Amino acid sequence: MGWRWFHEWGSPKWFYDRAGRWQRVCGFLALALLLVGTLWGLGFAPADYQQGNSYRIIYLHVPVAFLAQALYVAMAVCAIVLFVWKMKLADVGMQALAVVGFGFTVLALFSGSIWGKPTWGTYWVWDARLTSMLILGFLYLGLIGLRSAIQNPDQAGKACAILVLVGVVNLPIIKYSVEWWSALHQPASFKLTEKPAMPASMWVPLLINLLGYYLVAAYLVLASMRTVILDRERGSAWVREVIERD
Amino acid sequence: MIEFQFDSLFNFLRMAPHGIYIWPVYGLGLLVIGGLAIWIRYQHRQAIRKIRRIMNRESIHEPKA
Repeated sequence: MGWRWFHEWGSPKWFYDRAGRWQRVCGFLALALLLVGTLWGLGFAPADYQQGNSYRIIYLHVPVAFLAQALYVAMAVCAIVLFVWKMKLADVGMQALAVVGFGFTVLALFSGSIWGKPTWGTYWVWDARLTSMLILGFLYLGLIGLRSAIQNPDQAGKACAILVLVGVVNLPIIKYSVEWWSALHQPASFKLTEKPAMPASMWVPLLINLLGYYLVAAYLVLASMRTVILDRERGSAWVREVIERD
Repeated sequence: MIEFQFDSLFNFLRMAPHGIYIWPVYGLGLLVIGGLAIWIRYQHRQAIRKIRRIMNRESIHEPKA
């Protein structure tokens, strides 16, 4: 009984049907949360005593930087599932996560770089945190390129899974870079395990946006997975039924 | 109690002196996330069109009873 859900999750048809519903829920919730969190952060949170208004970039930069790493962790889980259980859906997940993860990494790099100008006086320094995030971006890009370079989907999946697992070594480097080396980037301003140093009027909108961006990522990944499933399963009867029904 | 931190809409948009950094970041965010959503939707439609074409081709070549 206990493993039934696991087999259901492995079925592209089962997942395709449900993901359509989950996607809509995630989309609506994300829109509502981001509207509240962003307006609150931009207009109602007090200015920082040192950085002034420039700190308001935090309401986008921190959630997308969190997500850039979280999506890579999700890809690593998919890679392990693919190797251990040979589940097709795990490979579909890896393909979808790479594109969305790349988008969030680009956003984290650019938003951080723009924030760096008023704070550090420069858009870019070869600081350990910034460089390891740039490497994360190249890893995502490499995965997208590797998949499109290999014709056979099974081989492409395995090659990507190996690259994903090798790239996991970069995640602790990103996380601890500000502690291991003398970095210009500040340490984490928001930890789930500790009470934030900033007042609630500043961190509550950050938390709302964090949830909102997670839901945006879920929406994008689910939508992308449905597209990949349609493309890969185009020969099966259930896909043709879905197309005829639409 | 939370309150609006700016005395006018103009000052909110100006966000002195950092508006030139803050608004492009949020604009870029909208562009990247909106762009991803549109691109994924486009890919989905392309996949459906591709399958429809295959189905049409197969129905033409199907032997008539």
